[in-house]
Formats: sequence, C-alpha cells, structure tokens
Amino acid sequence: MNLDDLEFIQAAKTLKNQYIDDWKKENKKVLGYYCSYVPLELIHAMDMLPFRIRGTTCKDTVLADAVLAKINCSFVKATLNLALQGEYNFLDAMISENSCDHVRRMIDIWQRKVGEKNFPRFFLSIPHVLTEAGLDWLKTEIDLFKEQLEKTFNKKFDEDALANSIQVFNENRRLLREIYNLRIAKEPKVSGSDFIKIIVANSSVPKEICNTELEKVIDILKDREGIKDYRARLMLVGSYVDNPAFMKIFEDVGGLIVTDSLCYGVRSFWDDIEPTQNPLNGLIMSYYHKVSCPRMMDAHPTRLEFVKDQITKAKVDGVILQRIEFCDLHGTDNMLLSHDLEQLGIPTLNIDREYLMSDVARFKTRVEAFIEQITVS
Amino acid sequence: MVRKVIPYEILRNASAITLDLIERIVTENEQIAMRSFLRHSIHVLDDIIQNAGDKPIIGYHFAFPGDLLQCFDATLVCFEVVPYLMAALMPNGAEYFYDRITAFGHPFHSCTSQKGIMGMFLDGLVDLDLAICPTGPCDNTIASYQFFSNQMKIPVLIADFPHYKTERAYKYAAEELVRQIDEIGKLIGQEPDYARLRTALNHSREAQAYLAEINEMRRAIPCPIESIVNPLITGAITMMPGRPEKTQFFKDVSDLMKKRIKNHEGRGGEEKFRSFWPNISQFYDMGFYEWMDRELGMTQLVDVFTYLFFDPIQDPMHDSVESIFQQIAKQALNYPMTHQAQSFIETMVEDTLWGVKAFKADCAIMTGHLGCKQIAGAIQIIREELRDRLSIPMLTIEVDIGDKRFNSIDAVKYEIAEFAKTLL
Repeated sequence: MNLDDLEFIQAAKTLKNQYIDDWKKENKKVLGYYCSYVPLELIHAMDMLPFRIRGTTCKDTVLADAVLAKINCSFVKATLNLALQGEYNFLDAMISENSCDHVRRMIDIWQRKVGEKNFPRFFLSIPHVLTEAGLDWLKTEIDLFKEQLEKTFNKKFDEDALANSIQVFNENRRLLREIYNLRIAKEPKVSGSDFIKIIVANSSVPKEICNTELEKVIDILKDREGIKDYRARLMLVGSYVDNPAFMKIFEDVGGLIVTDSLCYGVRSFWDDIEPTQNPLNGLIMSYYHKVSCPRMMDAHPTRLEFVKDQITKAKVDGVILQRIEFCDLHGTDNMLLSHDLEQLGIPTLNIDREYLMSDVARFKTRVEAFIEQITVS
Repeated sequence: MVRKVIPYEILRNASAITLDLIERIVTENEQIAMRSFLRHSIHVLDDIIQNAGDKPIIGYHFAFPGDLLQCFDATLVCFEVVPYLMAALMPNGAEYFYDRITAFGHPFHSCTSQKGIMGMFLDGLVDLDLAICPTGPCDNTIASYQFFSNQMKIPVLIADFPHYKTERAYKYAAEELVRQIDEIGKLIGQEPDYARLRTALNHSREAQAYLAEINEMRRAIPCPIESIVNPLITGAITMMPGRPEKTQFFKDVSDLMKKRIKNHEGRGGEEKFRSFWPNISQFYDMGFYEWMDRELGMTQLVDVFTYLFFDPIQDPMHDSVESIFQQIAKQALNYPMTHQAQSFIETMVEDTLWGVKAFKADCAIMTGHLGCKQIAGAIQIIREELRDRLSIPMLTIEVDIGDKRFNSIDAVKYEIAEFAKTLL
C-alpha cells in the first residue's frame, strides 16, 4: 500500500477533511490555532479539536493583499486569503498569540473582516524570555485561557481528562519519533516531502485517529525500500513549511531532507510532556521550555544546540537556512546560525522565499549548486 | 582606560558643524528649535564622550525606559537614535553601516534603527559593558538584540513586556524592571542610586509638562511651530532620558510657540493643510520639513513619537521606589511605538482617530517604514476607519525612515503633493 492511499494522508491536501466533518456531526467544536505555543492537550481535554492554521490550497493572495502590506509575510497572507474566501468557516474559534508581528496583525484583521461579531477569539501573551517570572505569567495566562474556554463553550476542565490527553499526545509524539528514526536511517524510508504530509495530516485530524493511522504509516514505511539515490543529506531550518512541494524542490535535484528544525516539523514532537502531579503545570512547563523559534530572545544557544544535535543524529551533509521573505525573526536567526555553522565547518545555504513558491526555478538552481558544492568538497 | 564611542563622536561633530552652518547662514529668528536641539545634543554627546573612559557604558533600546538607567553613574547610549541622527545630519547617514550588516547576512528588510548600530559594532566602533532592551515593540527588536548577545558576545539584559495594557501587565513589567536594575547593578558593580533617579525623573516630569504644552499649542490654527520639530522631539526623547537638556529643549520650543501665539504668528508659510502622522517621521532629509511648511503649506502636526500616551511620574521626589517602578512600567508599556505596535490593532486605530480630531487634521500620512511589519499590517484598517468614521483620507508613503535609497525624497514629495491636490 502507498502512503498516499491512506485517507489520513489525504487530509494533508485539503483544509477540511472527512474526519472534521464527522467530528462536527457530533456537534463538537474545532478551534483554529496559529502557533506551536498553544497547549493543544488542554483543548483536547475539553473534547474540542485543535486545528493548525495553514495555507494549503491557497492559489493566490489577491484578497489578503488588499488588507495587508507587501512587506507582510506571504504565508500569513495565504492563510488570511483562505479565511477571506470562507475556507476556514468550519472553525468555531481562533486562538492566537504574540508569535510575530505579521501573525498579530493578520489575526486582528481576521477578527474584523472574517469572523462574525461573536466569533470567539482567544489570545495568549507568551513571554519572550525564559525566566521564573515568565513561567508564572504563562501559568496565569493559560489559567485564564482555560476559564475562557470553559465559559465560552460551556465546558468543565477536568484534571484527569488532561492527564489522559497528555498521554494521547505523548503517544502521538512517540509514533512521530519512530517515523523520524526511519527518516534519519542510512537508507531513509521516508522522504522530507512525505514526512511533511504526515505532519500536516497529523495536525488536522483527531489525535486518537492519528495514533491509529500513524501505526499504519509506520507499517507501510517499514515495508518500503530505503531511499538510496540521493546525493546529499540535508537539514531544513527556519520559517514555517506545510507544503510537500517545497521539500520536493530539494529532493528533485538530489538532496534528501532527512531532518529539520521547524515548528511544524521535528521540533513539534521532539519532547514529551513530562508527567507531573499537576498535569496543567507540567503541560505549561513543557511548552514553555520546548525548543523555540526565534521569537524567544534568550534561546538562540538552545536552538543552535538542537541544530547541531540533529546534524549529528541524521548525519547531515548540509543545512538549508530558509526564511519566508520579510521574516525578521528567522532572517536574523539564520544569519547567526550561518556564522555558527560556518565556524563548525558545516556547509549552509541561506535563502529567502515566498510561501506560494513563485520563484522555484531560481531556487532550484541555487539548491543544485549547493548540492554540487557539498558533494564535490 | 580608553573606550570607544566613535558613533557618538561622529554625531557630535556632525551636530557641531550643522549648528555652525545654521548660525552662519540663517538669520537668528529662523531654525530656533533646530538650534536649541543641536546645542543640547552637543552637550549630551560631550558628556557621553568625556565619560566613556571612566564610567560603565550602557547601551539601551529606545523603548526601554532610559530614565530608569539614571539610577546608575554610567554613560548611557541609545542605540536606535544613532543611525537616524546620522541620517539627519550627514549626507549619506549610516548607509555604510546598513550595508555592512546586510553583507554579514542580516535581512535587508529589518529596521535600520538597529541595522545601523549593528554595522557599527561589526566595525568595532563601540565598547560596551552591557545592553538592555525590552521584548518589543516589534520583531526587529527581538531579532536584532540576539545579534548583540550571540554574535558580539555583549551581555544583553531583556525586560519582558507583555502584549496587554492591563494592571496585571504593568505589575509584571514593573517586576521585570526591578530584576533588570538589580542585574545591571551586579554587572557594573554599583548599587542603584535612587536619589539620582528621583532627580532624573523630575527632569522628565518637567519635560513632559513642556511637551504637553507644545502639543496643546499645536492644536492652534495655524500651527505655531515648524514640522521639523517632530523628528527633533523624537531625538530628544530617545537620546536625553532624565536629562535637563531635554527639559530645556522642550521649554525653548514651548516658549517660542507661546511667543508666536501671543503675536498671532504661525510657523512661517501659509498653512493650507494639517496632517497627522500615525507612524514616525522620516529622518534622511531635514529639508523635507521646510518644503512641507513653506512650499506645500502642509503642517506635520504630531507623529507617533511626539505625543505621549502616559502620565508623568506623580511625585518623583517623594513617591516610594516601588511606586516609581510601577509608574515607570506603565510608562514603558505606553511608550511611543510600544503603546501602538505592541498591542492589538484597536490601539493604533483609536490613537489615530483621536489624534486627527484633537489636532484638527485634514488628513493623515502614514510612513510605511520597511522595518515596521506590524504597522504595515494595520495601515489598511486605519485607512478604512478614518474614511468611514471621520471622512478623513490617509496617504501611505513607503519609506525607510533612515535610508534615502529606499525611496527618494523627491518621490515622497511628489506623492504628498499629488495627495494634497485631492484635499483642496
């Protein structure tokens, strides 16, 4: 059986899917979220489905261009465009954060232009530093969020339900790590483009179903021949990626994305939630201390260590540092990483791109040249 | 011990040359605000240069409450003001330094206020003991200060500021400020001197009172002060925290305006249009403001930096230290740009609507600064709200506030002049 034959994997190709339809038939809520700092287990524990906002199926950003500026992120525009087209009307609420400047404004506009007046919007102000005080702030913030969820959707938070949700999500992470191990093998069983499909599907379907489906995915992958015909093992670092076609650019010219440091990639399942007596505290602690994106001001050394660790684990030949145009956060972090990695003798390619893949030919040429450079030296 | 503050020496020389030029070629009743600003700037810059060898040097982000740092006997240097004053005073501003850091791999679209100083650090022009910044108002801050800590290996202290303007947020920010002052004390081996801080806050309180007078008088038609006062006020606010020079500069401007109002004088040139600027003015061509006032007849009333949406410290000499920290935290979360940009879109919308009405503006002009992604994302909503609620038009000009190469001043003037025709 092929990976693409699974209905679960098909969920990566669209926004709404059959699983969401079934979920909604039971009169259950779907909550859109934008950033990896949203505590998904909390939503799950209240019997609601968290759905990661993405730009899948977006063809152009004509509607979003009218309300955002040309110096705003094209991924953010793609998602807003879909929302303005009504593609996200299946959501019952939106959860946003102070992730980055582009997202903050996009959500402001989403609320004004798309949501009905009573469309619930939740906002989490996440600290930009890792401190005791920051952790305390976040605990209060999540507590308030929890109370708002209870009030808005007439739900009751239950600690045991959360403990169960943490188990379900940790199992999900374990399964993804099993797939990751198949990805970093000498002859990888899964390409980067297939891997991103799995990750995307996994964020769009109820977790219990995901866990069952991931077992099937693992069986399929194990039965596969490993990939041998690649020229360089690459690691992808930087801005958000949800499009398998983006990964294919590298893989079509002889590279193989064997690992990554992406919020929608390896970082999303790397660390389990530590079981603690107070499950909510444990959840918050784990989210706060996870490997971050560059929005966390004092965590560049941790991000660098993560990248170095992945380079070793996955036997990476070269690192692709990419950012969606006008992303100041990843742009600066990639600059720092490029100098850090250069000092370690690790080849890097630092590129900027548009979310809608408007510049693929130039991009391919650069990647080809980079692979050439790695394989010759 | 010789320690380098070369950009401040460059600025000092540029200020002195500019002042000399003005005094030689302009009659004494012209450019009064500019003369006052330059005189006081030179004084502040002299202090920085003379004390750099003896006192710890603390670099601070413009949105960190600089007043608070006056509790230390230290040389205080604001990072962001340097490239913009260079842009204002020198033909090519800080362009070499923008290019320097861009060539190092920094994104071209990041804010020049930080790119300039980053380039200067790459060239080893500044010796610092530490830098301090808040976690806002924008991604540029969050990103760029990681360069100082990780690449330049400078101790960077970070005061985390939340996204809200609530009592809980003010309390958290106050605790952050207490923590950072404690950290600075440890790093430079000094105890905070709160008597010194009280004096500084008293200066700022007085300065704010004069600024309030200035803004009150700017409501008059015609406006009794030149448009150029906006970038000058921005320079004073950022470069002279808690210093008497800031108070004196604002007093000079206020006195000038009072005199003009008393004599029924305007700012020079006929005032045909009154414009409100919801973002910061440009710095790379000071002649632009003369053109606005005298050729176009359009006053730039207020910009995002020149109206303060916070109260002064109530009683700096007697309030408890705890109360002072709480009040400074409230000021910090409502500091220019932090108030508008590190907040939901409603704040910018309401500030703009309020400003247009309060200053009796005919239009708004928004600088779509390359670095300001969060403001760029708010422009269309602000435009729609102005149109729908006040029937006021808004022009957006795409600029880089400190880099003339992004959009030439002639192009900017053309756009504004064409826009002005639609106002007639």
